[in-house]
Amino acid sequence: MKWRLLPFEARPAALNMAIDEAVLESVAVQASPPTIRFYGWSPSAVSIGCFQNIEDEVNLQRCRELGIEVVRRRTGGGAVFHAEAGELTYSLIAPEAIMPRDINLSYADICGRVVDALRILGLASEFKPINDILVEGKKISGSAQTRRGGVLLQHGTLLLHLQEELMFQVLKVSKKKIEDKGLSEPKARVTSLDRHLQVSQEKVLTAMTEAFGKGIDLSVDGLSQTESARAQEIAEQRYRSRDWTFSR
Amino acid sequence: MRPFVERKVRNGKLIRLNVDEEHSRVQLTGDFFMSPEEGLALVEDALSEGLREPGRARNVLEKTVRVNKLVFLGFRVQDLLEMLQEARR
Repeated sequence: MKWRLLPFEARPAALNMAIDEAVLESVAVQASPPTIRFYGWSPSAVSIGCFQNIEDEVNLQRCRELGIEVVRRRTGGGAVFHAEAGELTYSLIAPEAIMPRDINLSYADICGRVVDALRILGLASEFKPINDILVEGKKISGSAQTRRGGVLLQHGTLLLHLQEELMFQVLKVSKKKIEDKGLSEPKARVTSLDRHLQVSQEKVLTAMTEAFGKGIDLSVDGLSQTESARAQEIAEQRYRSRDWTFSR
Repeated sequence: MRPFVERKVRNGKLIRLNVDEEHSRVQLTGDFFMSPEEGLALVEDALSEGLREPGRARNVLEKTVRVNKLVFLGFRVQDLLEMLQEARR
């Protein structure tokens, strides 16, 4: 089966989420092949999980002051600060039939590709269920998955450069979450690639492409016109909608 | 009744029950996963019923999960039941 690679592009938060959803819809009706996409966020943004309460998770006032966008994902999981130029996001969108049926196994499979990419770059990491990848015990990557219309969508981040001060100005991290990990402050919980390796984003993308493309027939292509148009619609109707963003 | 109860499940996720006592409604929020995501409203209905009728909470929740083929990641039905109990104190 042929897979498509959508090459790296940085876009606003609502459009990023809408593209993932438009591709999912297109894969569901077999109008598009299984797809791997790499992307960035411009401007910087916070994404929150679909089950999270926005006020509990995000310092909205600080986001407004700093021009940081806030978007609610269709996937569960936690709030993420996506710094412009500080992070690489991937998505994998494929029919459920060709992915592990068990959700935990599919996380292990897809996160394993990120672990492989880091290994290619010379950095040892480990998958920590449910959805994290750790380097020296600290989180460098998180992922979230949904399944709709017979299609699996998983998107996840790889932290390239950590802007700690900014991250913890815009995210509110529950004390319970930190205490559970035996840590005194959230900063102790995360790391980024540049703390371990000096490597360009281009090299990271090459490693990610190699790891995600292993064993599949992957070729670079763009979004179809239908996907592009549908993404604009979804961005407007859902991801830029106050009703959706503030639904919880 | 407590307005909210929060729990970080060991090796799991953070879950929070917000209790609206006046309307006997429970809202479930957190960084957990649930498949399908649309099942959340059903779980919240079941939790609200469990709040009104504590003796039925387990049955209602387990039935909701079973009938709708819901999959939880990062917490279990048992966590929700314990948190409901905690909210009632």
